[in-house]
Amino acid sequence: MPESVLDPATGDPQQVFAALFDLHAADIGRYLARRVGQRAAEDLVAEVFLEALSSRNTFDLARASPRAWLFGIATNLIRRHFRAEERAMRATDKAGRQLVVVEPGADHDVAARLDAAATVARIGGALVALTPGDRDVLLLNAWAGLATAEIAVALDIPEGTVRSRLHRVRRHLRTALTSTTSTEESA
Amino acid sequence: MNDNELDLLLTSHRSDANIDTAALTTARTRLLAVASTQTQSPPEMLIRHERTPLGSGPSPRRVSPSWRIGLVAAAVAVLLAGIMFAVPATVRNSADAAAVTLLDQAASVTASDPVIPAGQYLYMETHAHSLSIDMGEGHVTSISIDESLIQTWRPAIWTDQWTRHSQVIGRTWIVEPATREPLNTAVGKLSAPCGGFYSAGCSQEGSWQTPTPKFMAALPRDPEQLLERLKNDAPNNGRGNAELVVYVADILRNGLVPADLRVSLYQTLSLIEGVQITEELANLDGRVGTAIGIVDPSGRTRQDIIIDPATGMFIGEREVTLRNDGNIPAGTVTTASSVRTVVVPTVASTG
Repeated sequence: MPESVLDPATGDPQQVFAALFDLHAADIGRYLARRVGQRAAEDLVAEVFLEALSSRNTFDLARASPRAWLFGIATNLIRRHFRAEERAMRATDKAGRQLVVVEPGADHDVAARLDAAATVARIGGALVALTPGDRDVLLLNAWAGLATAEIAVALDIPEGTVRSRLHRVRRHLRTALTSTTSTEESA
Repeated sequence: MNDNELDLLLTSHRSDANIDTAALTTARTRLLAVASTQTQSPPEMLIRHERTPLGSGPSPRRVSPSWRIGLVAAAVAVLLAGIMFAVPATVRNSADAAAVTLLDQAASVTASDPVIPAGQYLYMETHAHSLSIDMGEGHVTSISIDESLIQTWRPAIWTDQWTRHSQVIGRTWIVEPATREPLNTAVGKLSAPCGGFYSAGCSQEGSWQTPTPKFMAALPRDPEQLLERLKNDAPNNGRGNAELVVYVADILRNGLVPADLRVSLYQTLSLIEGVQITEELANLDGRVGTAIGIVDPSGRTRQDIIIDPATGMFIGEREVTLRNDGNIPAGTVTTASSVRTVVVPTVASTG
């Protein structure tokens, strides 16, 4: 069933939600796992769809895509799992460690490689240090692949606000990760 | 760090994380079991809430969003007026010629660079302000202005060890959150040769955001050629010429730009259509200069660069909102940084 005819508000719940689950659950599950860790995500992915089912009458297909709507619900649920999110964000995974090895110019310079490792480690701390609102905008864009118009729907804020926040938070991270934050090495 | 490097870091971070397919199967079974008990709503029974936050489920009676936004905006405007610098909400109708005159003057009086004696340091102190807004379920839960102090000691010899201390030194709540978390004021300390605090030490290639001597030496001094280079390097992100000014602000903010390049950058700014004087007496952290700036094509924000016309020194830069956008009122300084440099005898001395 193409997404364009899936209307959670008017369609047969069993049929529509089976199709919505098959279309979006894997993406939402992966996004949740990156945000709050595998264990919390496995519980949350079911909650996202159950919450969607119970609030389906508020959904307006003319205004939102089901995908943006579902990521909006996921975002609200993540807010209740801040501690799990903090733990997950600070964990540097295998891909992050591989990034250190492929960092351009780092191959022959141990100090540079250590610096790269520090930066990869710092991205987690930098993400935790963002306000939840900034983190949501950034990661819905970078990890969920939502366009600014979809993020505006997911978070129910003006698209202009999404754009300016995305620009600001990316600029902040560019500066912070280049040089200015290393609170892990606190005096 | 440039945008591509940030994207690489972001897309790699936690990219291994996923959930088990067995968990998906369980979730699907649970969902469909509940869905089978639900009936299809006839269209006339549907309740549409135009402004109900998506994903929040049926909500209790709420204050009208437009009234709430207006209230927050008013509170922000009043508080900002007392806290932040006085900034005009609209651009003055100065002719571009005035900006050209100012930039020419700044270029003509730009002095030579301070000489750092052997064993001593150039101390660079940056005060940065940033506005943080937290949104929860479609409404503002908190707004704060965070102030950071970044101190950098550059050795006389570029390839020697640099030192950087950075610290969040203040947070002013405009709208307080329900629960405050304590401010982390720990001093971050970094040390690296060549100022390569990030990733590559002396092997970094340099960019507008992380300028190296090699990068800056390779930039053309001819203003028209420098403008072409800027156009090539700045991303085409819908901000038009404003992004060119952002890039100039980025490189100037580092406090490392030699006088001859600073002169060329000022002359280049005078070639950018839309650049104008935005405030004659702009006060950034107590230092007064003239602000020249450019408005985004959207008309929403303005990027300013503040220069001391008497000495040609770069004082700082800021981004200002020009329209009410959601909860951010016109005239809000969303980011600002001021830079001070002085030669000092030792690391940790601040002139």
